[in-house]
Amino acid sequence: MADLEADFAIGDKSPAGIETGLLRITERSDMSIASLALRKGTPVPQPFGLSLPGPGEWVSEDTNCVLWVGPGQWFVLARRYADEELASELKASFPSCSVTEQTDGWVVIDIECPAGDEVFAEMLARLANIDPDKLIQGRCVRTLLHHLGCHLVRLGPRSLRILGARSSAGSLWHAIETVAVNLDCRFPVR
Amino acid sequence: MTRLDGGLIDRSKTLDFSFDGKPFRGHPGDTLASALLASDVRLVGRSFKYHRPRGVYSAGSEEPNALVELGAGARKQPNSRATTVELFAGLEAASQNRWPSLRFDAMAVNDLLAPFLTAGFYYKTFMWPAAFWEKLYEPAIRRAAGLGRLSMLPDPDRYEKGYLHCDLLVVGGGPSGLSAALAAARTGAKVILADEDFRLGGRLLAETACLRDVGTLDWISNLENEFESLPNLRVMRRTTVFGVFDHGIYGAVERVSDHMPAREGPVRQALWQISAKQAILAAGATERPIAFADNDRPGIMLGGAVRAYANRWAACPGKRIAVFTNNDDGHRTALDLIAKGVDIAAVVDVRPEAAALGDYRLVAGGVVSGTRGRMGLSAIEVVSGSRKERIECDVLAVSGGWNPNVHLASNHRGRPAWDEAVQAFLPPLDGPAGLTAAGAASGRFSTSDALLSGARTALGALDSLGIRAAMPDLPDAEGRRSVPAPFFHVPGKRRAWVDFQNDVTVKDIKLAHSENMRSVEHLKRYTTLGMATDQGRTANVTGLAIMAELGGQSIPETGTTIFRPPYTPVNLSVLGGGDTGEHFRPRRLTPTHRWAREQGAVFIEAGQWMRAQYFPQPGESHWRETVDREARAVRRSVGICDVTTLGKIDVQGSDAGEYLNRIYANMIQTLKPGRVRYGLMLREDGFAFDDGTCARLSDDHFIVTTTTANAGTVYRHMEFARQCLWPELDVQLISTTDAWAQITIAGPNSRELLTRLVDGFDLSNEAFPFMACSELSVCGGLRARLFRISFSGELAYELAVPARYGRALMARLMEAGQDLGVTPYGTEALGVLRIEKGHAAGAEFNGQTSPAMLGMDKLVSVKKDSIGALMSRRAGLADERRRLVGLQPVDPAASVIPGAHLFGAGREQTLATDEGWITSACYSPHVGSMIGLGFLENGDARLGEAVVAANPLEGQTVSLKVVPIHFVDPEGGRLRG
Repeated sequence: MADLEADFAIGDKSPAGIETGLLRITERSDMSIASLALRKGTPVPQPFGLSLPGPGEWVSEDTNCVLWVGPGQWFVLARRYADEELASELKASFPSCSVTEQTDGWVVIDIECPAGDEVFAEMLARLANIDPDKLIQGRCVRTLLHHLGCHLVRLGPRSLRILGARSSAGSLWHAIETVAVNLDCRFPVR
Repeated sequence: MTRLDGGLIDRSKTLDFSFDGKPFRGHPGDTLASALLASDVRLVGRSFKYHRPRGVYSAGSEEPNALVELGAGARKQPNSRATTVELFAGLEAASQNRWPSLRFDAMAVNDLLAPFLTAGFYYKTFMWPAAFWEKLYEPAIRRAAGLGRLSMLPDPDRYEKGYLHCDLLVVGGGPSGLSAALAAARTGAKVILADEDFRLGGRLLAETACLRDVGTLDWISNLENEFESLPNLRVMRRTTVFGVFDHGIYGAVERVSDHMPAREGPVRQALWQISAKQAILAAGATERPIAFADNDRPGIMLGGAVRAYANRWAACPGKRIAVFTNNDDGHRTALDLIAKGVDIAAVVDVRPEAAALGDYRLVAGGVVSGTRGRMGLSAIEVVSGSRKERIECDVLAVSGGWNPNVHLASNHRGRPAWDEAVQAFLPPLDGPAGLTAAGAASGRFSTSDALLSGARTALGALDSLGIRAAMPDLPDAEGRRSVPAPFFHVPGKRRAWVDFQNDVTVKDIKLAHSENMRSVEHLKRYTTLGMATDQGRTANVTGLAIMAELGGQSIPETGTTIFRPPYTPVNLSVLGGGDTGEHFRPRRLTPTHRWAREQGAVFIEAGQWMRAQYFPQPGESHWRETVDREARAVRRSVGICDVTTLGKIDVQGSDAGEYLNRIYANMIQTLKPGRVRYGLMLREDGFAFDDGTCARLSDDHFIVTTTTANAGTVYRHMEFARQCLWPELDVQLISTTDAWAQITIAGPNSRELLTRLVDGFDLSNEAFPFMACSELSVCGGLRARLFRISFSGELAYELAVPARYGRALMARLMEAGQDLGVTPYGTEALGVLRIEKGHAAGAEFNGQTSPAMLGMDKLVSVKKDSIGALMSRRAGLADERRRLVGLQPVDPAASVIPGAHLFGAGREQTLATDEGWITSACYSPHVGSMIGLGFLENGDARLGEAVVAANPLEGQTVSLKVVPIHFVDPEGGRLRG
């Protein structure tokens, strides 16, 4: 095990997290990410037993999920069970696929909105130019969020996962935090 | 205080506010204008050019006169229309464009100079000397004529932006908008209803007896209750849809807390981008005035506005009111006011056949030929046939017909069309796709027509989306259709205002016409008619009608006018969406950013990236001192630098080698696993595109690095080639720029330093020579990648670790190399080292340089095809003779300035004799003088020659010696050592 201390993409000593009156926003430092791309004429893999989802879709099994990110390309997200092992494990399981370690390329931010569907829609309206009725559960989209290219994953009726580039994680967090604060002002908890 | 009975104000509460420092009171429901009128304040501003006294003219966003400054300090908001400002307790308003006071404005002297200040006067007057224009004339004119003043302080308020999606957007909450929203929302379709007012109802709120079998307010209230219960309907009050953009996108500003005392809501305004499949323009209509002599005195108002103040706000603007009209609407004003107990002096109707509709004096076939009253109207002169009389009154309500608010419909350059039947411009037929007008905005002026057309238009719009809607039950409503007589101005010699905000009179239009400014667009620019904050909402059509009359043509023959966004002024702050300062745009930070900040690094923006530029040490007083030290440290011992920002593209697949062979100009397929090669990419046109290294990790796995600046464009180019040019190749790409922290370790002691970190990896020259690469582990098991490549010309490595360990690795390198004097260096020293080594970078890869110019023509392989290879050999490019050379000043103390142009010694310095330019320059601690790189005509054959670098911008001429591009270690022994 390396004797170097790892940084969080956003948080200082621990993963970043804020809880406002309406939202719970968490930096997920426990996710491993690897990209998986199909090579020509090779069998279609089923990571974690999951069938690869079509464009704009994602599938999950337990805490692992696979999301479509481009033609013939997927991101596999898994709870990090051991440092750096997801990509090599995938490569070992599916040697005819192109696998690239992506854990450090991205920051994963989960947003939960217990306050209800309306607030969730209001939040999404302020984050990205995405129709909340289109980004339904089971769907994901690559889009701009405050000028930053991100993957938005509709985890559940009131939960959203955002994958953003690690280098601009601070700007992404600021954008999300600002939306959270503005929402609190616009929809005061009664 | 002149309050009438009734009205939609809450008299149980009072709101204290001030205007020009004086205290006043109003009620919830008031606007600033209604509260001022109810407090008998008639003079509220001064006109733009002549500083004429002005009063409230309208009751809506079309207001040209009552522009005030709201708030104080950084929150001061100039040019706010008092007619749309919702009153709140503590509101501070002040008049503008006057000195020293509103009542005694010294600049009113302009009015006496009016004969000299005609249309286009400054074009004619301030001709000479030309140099005076910017320095003297323009500032003086701007001071004398103007609107409000900005605070010049940063805006302290909070703004937000967002995106909404709907099936149907209804713009306007009057009768047609309400019926449209009702019909549509009942289907379950996603509907947005936006209205600029704080209360739904539009003209319904300002009129009496619009609905017959139900009270107007009851109907609206029931509707609002139903709206509340429909989750698919979003009602946006205080929201102005200000423009229609491409693909069904509408821009809207929601005034979230402008109406709240002391900014109770932390968000002041929100910018909404609304994507609507269909939209209905139910923006109503704006009443148009009739121009007559001295028609701009406070107390002269639009008739519909007088009615609105009386009915909605229970505010009577005067004690004795006269009406001047060309249609039945003026009579309606008189009737409503009589019902409120207001004294009507007379109704002057230009139509000889007009009949009184109630108990008031009618002057049929009469016109108002003049007015009296210095700070406010006291009397009007009326001419009827041969009879001229003076009628005492303090308010004149003017009704010249209604102009549909077609603005949004012509945002895409559709031209409104004149309709003779309703005597108005209607929305163009070629307006924005999906936008249909209804109600008064479509020329259907009666309440009954508006209600019906709103619902029918909604049905049609939804039908086009495949949604079936039913016609809702609509209340029985008045169906009066009043077509105005085609009467736009009263002829006369005195000034008659057409555009109140810009002080444009009928005379000005006549002058422009006589000076051949006959196109509507020329008229606008010559006279300023239709400019400034109101964009001619009350002036354009009248101006056009007068032009038509002057030219002896019909209105449609004369022309039409179109409208650009915004419909009403929009704050720049809200357009910015709330992002200011360091958050104005996203920033990318390197994994060692925090560490560098702790070391006191000075940062520089490189695209979105923030990079450490240099690391000042105590005692260093100048950046050059720091950079020299950093560069020397690399050459003498070892330096470390974060190069994470270089683009990194992971290329895999069984055809990856062939693919890269086609992408790069030089041969890549022959590269052996574990080796790195310098690669040159060309554009399709044969010019140099980007350079970097290509590392082969295994047979089917490569890592391509790009320059920082081109990381995105190279990736896009490669994806395009993969997906569109050669889809048959088995290649997969993905960016890994952010995934790896990459640190350069450069200098003669770099191997020694690195040895202390790697986990048993053999770094000897034999095992890991120049241009080798390998996966390995460092610091006790951390997976890493090592590349033996050099930008500085020294023995150097680039070590990549997962990004989250970048900061710790940097700290570890500093700790481990303490005894070696390891020195962090930034982009400045990086630049010095590469110029000393003669490596081309962004300044040389500027999109206009060929491989031959860069001395890289031999790299472009003729044994294979690659993007741009053929075009790089085309005649035009192959004839190019400028070559990259090194440049050194003959006098070592002289400066070498990038951008300076090169000329042969003793030759004339003209464009024709230009022989090239300096691309990069720096002070070289190694050479002991400034050095440069540049492109010089036949440069490769002119080594040793003296040339002249001319910097005409700074009047400098420097003699330079042409030298080889390598100032350091030309044989490359160091980097191979």
